[in-house]
Amino acid sequence: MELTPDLRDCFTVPGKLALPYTYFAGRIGSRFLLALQEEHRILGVRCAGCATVLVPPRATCDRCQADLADTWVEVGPAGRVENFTVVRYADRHVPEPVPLVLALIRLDGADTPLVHRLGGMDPEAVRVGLRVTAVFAAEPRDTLLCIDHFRPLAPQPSAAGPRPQGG
Amino acid sequence: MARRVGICAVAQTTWERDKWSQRFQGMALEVLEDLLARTGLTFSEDGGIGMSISVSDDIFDARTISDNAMTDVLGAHMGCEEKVAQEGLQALYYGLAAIRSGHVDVVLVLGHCKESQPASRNQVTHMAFDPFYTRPVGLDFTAAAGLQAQAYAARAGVGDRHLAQVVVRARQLATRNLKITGLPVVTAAEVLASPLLADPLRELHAYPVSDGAVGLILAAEERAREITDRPVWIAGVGNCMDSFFLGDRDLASNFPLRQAAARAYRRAGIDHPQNAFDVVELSDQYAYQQPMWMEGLGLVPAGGGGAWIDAGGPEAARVNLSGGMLAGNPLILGGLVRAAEAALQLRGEAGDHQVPGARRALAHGVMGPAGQFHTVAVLERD
Amino acid sequence: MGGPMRQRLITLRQTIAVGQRFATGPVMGRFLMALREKTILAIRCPSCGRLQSPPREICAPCRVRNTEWVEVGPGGEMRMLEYVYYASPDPLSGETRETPYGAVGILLDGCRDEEVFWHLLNPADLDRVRMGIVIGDRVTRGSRLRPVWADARTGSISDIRYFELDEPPAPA
Ligand SMILES: [Zn+2]
Ligand SMILES: [Zn+2]
Repeated sequence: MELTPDLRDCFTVPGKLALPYTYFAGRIGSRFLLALQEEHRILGVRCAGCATVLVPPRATCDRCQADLADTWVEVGPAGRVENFTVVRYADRHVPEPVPLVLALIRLDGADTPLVHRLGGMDPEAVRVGLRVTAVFAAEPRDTLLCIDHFRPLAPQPSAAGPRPQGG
Repeated sequence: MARRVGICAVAQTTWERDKWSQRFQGMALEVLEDLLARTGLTFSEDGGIGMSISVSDDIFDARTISDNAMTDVLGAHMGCEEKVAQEGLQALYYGLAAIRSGHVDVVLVLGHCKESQPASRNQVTHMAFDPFYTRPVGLDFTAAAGLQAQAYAARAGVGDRHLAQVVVRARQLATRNLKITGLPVVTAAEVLASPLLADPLRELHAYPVSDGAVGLILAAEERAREITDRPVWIAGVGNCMDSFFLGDRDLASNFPLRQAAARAYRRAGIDHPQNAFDVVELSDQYAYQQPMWMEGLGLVPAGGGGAWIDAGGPEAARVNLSGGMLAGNPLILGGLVRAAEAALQLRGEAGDHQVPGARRALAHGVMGPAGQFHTVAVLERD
Repeated sequence: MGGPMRQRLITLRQTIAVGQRFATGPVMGRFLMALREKTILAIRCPSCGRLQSPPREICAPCRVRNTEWVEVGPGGEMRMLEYVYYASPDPLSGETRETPYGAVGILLDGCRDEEVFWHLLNPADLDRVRMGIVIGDRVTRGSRLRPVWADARTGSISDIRYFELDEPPAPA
């Protein structure tokens, strides 16, 4: 039998890449998430080296390599939309429903904006400079979704949220 | 005096939306056989190819350490093998380091990717984000690019009309590139009407899903001159990694690209990059990145992207005559294909898109959300 | 209070999953489609004559394309057994298979030396098989094994459910 690379021999097989992980939030991350879950407080860390309040918090400042343990400061829960995009494609990793407004929100007292989703308003009405505030999830979650979404501080024309709270 | 390192040969498969009949091993083998035929080289630590550097993405390949599954088709069996999982142009950097150090004289660089294999590219790039903070809100590279495009467009006067122009030109140039198949030309009206993905990005602004493989042979100067009469010298390479969290960066500032370019220019001895290059191949994964990266490279004044397009800048600066990434190369291979295309130009082998007499070229690669990591390479011929 | 400060720590269990569509290419494809017909194919190197099954595009040591297809087995001699107590998750599903299980290297009829074919062993035979060993002139024959074919075959390595013992039971 001679080898003749032949399209008739070729086919495709459906499969999956699936791996179970256990991610660790770390000491800093756990403290941040528990403050969100249990106290509805948003914490950042303050680097003495560059006088920057970083959110989400982390163990080390990537500019100064300074140790940021025990440099907690409370920020938010209100803030300003610095930048945003409207995600209009559905995919299994994109929270429903779309369009989904993802915004860089600089919380009051923080220097680095946080990426989160905006709700409670018409996606087409979002503007840079909008004042927003955190809406906390009713049930405890182990991720940033302890804050379910951010909503405008002032009443907006349309009030469809990205996902009903606790949903 | 450190040894000069030359690119001696270039090979690539066609770039297609769906190479359903090929495993990634088959695509790589096609490129390897092409390179060996062009150079007459064999694998040996005594005068032949002494090291194989593969470029592959484990999540796209759905295998841990996916180079393990293909050492045979890299000629790396029982040989010296290295893998680049970051961005393809980094493989040029690895090869440069290996040869300049004197460890080896001849290196094979070979990258592959099948973007058609996973259910969606966005699901794959979503994995690059943090499981606690940035995955839960649904970030992926497309959404991150949307945020960057939003920030950049306003600052540089780049509007929907400019982006349409960039895409129309890329698709037209792609018809002259024999390695691009099955990519239709589009009109500006079609681009302007294509659905929004993540404002202001539209579907036609995004590089097409593509499958294929690319390879190069690198050699120390003396060996390079034996292998080819038209070696292309790697004059300087620089890279820069920016912060992980999008909020830590000024997304419109081009900070990491300016750093990477400055490093590459300094190493190549270039003081005035503005008119230093006959050809520029940059990784424009999304249309807004073509003017933005040109600003970051210092080849267009900061904030001048829109005006540059209006003035016919892309044609005048001979940017992405191959079609660029908008004509379809996989994410991880963007910079490596750019280096290959730039080398073809300097060797006079670029076919219908050849720039007559091109002597110096720039190749650029980018990886990570919203251009977190950039590599810039300066290539020259004698 | 004394003692180290105690703090609640958070972990997140998550299975990352991305759907895939794997291509067989012509070489793997031909091998898999043959399994559907209850045939095991190997491919021969034109340079050193080595057989590979599952087949690869090239012979790695010789760096040449393999050229000749050969039917091997389907029965053979067990040369290696991995008696596995700890299973890694199957990356195709994220699920972990039952343990213990046996992974066997089988010298299919028509093959020699290191040309073993890897598959699963019938769990019922785990403690009844013996490995073949060749050390110089000292040859110990391994158990004879035969494939157990799936009823519905699709062109997949699972068209062979597993290999089982192909020998009369030892006298009591
Ligand atoms: Zn700092
Ligand atoms: Zn051989």
